[in-house]
Amino acid sequence: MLARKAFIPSLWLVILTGSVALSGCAKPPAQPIVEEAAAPQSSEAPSPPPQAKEMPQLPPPNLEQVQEAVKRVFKDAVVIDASRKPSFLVGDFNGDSSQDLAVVLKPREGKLSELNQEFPNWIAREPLDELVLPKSKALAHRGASKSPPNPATGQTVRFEQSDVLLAIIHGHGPKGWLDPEATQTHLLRDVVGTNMKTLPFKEAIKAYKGRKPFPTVYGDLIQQTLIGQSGFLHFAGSIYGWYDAKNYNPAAVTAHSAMSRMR
Amino acid sequence: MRILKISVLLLFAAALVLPFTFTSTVEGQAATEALTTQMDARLDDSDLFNNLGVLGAAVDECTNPAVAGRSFRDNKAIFEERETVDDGLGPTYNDVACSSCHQAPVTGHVTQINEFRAGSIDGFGNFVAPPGGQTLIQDRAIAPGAQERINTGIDQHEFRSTRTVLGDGFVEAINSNTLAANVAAQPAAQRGQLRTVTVLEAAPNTRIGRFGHKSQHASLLSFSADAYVNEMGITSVLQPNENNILGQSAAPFDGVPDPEDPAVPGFPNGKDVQAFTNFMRALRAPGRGPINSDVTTGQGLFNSIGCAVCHTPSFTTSPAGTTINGGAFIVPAELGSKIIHPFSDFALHNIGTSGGIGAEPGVNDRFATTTIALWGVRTKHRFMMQGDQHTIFDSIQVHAGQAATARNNFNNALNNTQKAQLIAFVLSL
Repeated sequence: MLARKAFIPSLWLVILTGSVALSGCAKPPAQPIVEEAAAPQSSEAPSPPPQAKEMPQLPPPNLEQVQEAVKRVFKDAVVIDASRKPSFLVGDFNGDSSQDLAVVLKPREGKLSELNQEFPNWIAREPLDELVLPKSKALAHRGASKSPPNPATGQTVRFEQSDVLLAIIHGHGPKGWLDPEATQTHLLRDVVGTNMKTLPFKEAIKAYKGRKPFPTVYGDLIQQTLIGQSGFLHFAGSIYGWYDAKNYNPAAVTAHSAMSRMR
Repeated sequence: MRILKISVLLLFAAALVLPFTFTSTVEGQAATEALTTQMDARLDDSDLFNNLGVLGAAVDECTNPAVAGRSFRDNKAIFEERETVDDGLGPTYNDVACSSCHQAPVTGHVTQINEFRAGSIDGFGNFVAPPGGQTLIQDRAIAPGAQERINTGIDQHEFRSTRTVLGDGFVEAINSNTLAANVAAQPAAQRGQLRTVTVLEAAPNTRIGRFGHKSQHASLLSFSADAYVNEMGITSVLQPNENNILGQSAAPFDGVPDPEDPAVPGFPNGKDVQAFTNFMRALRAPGRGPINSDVTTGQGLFNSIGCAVCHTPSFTTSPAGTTINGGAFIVPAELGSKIIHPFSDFALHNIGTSGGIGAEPGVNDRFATTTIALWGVRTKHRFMMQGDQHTIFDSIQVHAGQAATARNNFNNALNNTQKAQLIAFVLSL
């Protein structure tokens, strides 16, 4: 009986404790949640650097540096065509304020398969075929070498042992094409002519002022004589195109670069 | 007596355990996967609808014309509606309906259409907008005299491809701090820039931008009003001024009083703009294509070589009930705590593929562009910001700048089988 008497207050204590626990843990009344204003990024956070207005000056390139850059991209698949004078140029061809390298190459004997590998480390293009010459006048000897598109990459260019190639290795950051990260490369066939030189962007604007039609120019130009005409290779946004007053075909550039709406 | 004691002890134990059993998370719900669409135009509208609002009855111009805000199908019909001069179309414009650009394979996704932007560079290397200050050069006009034509001095050109609006309701519901935390975790060399923009319907309140090629809008209402005036030339409460015609007034060609989509009862920002917004908020996210072992392996490679740093695979939206857009919108249950897979960080990066048009406030690099969301990419045939790449392989190769490391990893760290697997993964999105 005594035990029973002592138990009753204990029972109330337990119930009281349980109630307190329950009320304490119960879901609170709904509070509005408001998106807090995001803290601004710290001053060191945004890494896209302000666009440099001038390309950093680099010392003149030497053959050893050029060979190293070529090896970085192509490994042993090509050799520099030293018979060409010059065999390499530098400039900011894509207009990103980082110095690029343009170098004349030949496929290395016995390494053609590496040049035509399934997933090359470069963008293979034929600017004259694609952008300038009507198909009927396209370089005739290419007809037989056109292969079906590579199903994996969609690329159709198949290089041949006799090809003369121009590789444009885009620079990366202030070190330009000398940077180990600089591997983005356009490999162009049939665009090596004579009297090749870099025409700086500002000089190009002056030299060709008022010329119509005229392509959009993003950076320095590779001026030369090709297919009997004086003109230049230029970066057209994603590919390299050829301009000369006689053969320039803005419609082809426009169509290729998806610059038409094609409605 | 013993039974009574045991009962009391059990009651006490239950009192301790029960609250934890029924306690909710702070958000009030666990995150779940967002509804996705198969992006198949042969399917019913219900495949697009994420259950925000009501699906509604089929719209018929004669028997059941569209009513703004009534249902998903009504809003979709208004999104697809062709505007006319009497509606306020122009004087300069790009096309006649939202769905002219956001159409294939289903309303809300993409088309091949690109916007055209232009400007020039002055003698100091600074970007200069065309006369009138607008870089967008509209392709069409309602009268010959209103057509914009740039001269050869405006020689910097850029095209901006159409981005999907599928899933954008979920994107809108991502907390700004979630985006900030994601970017803060990126390696310094790849770190994107988030842009703080004004929420037009809650000005001067701001939020992290996420819509457009320059993350220029943070809310779908702001985005809708912007697109209405810039793509169709139709002014609204939030965008009450007509575009000029390369610096010349459009007034001589503008016969409809501004705003052309005015405030009306129930629609303080305009009926059309609200209908567009409601439609986009109620859209499902793009769903995945077939997933096989190559695709699964490719996803791992995509992550491991660094693509996923900027093409962020997943976000979870804010909990239902969260007030966003500077106080102008409360996240509904249909959009709240949803896991989405946009494969974008919605931050700006310079990857060397932009034309450098624009000197937008708050953007520290005119060549920076917002990471394109890869969801739904398998329906596209032109890629990258300017729509100038035709294959995934070439698209990878043109990645430079902040994406150079990822591209180099693709080229140098993967064998041919792995490269094919990574491409297969991208084309499964």
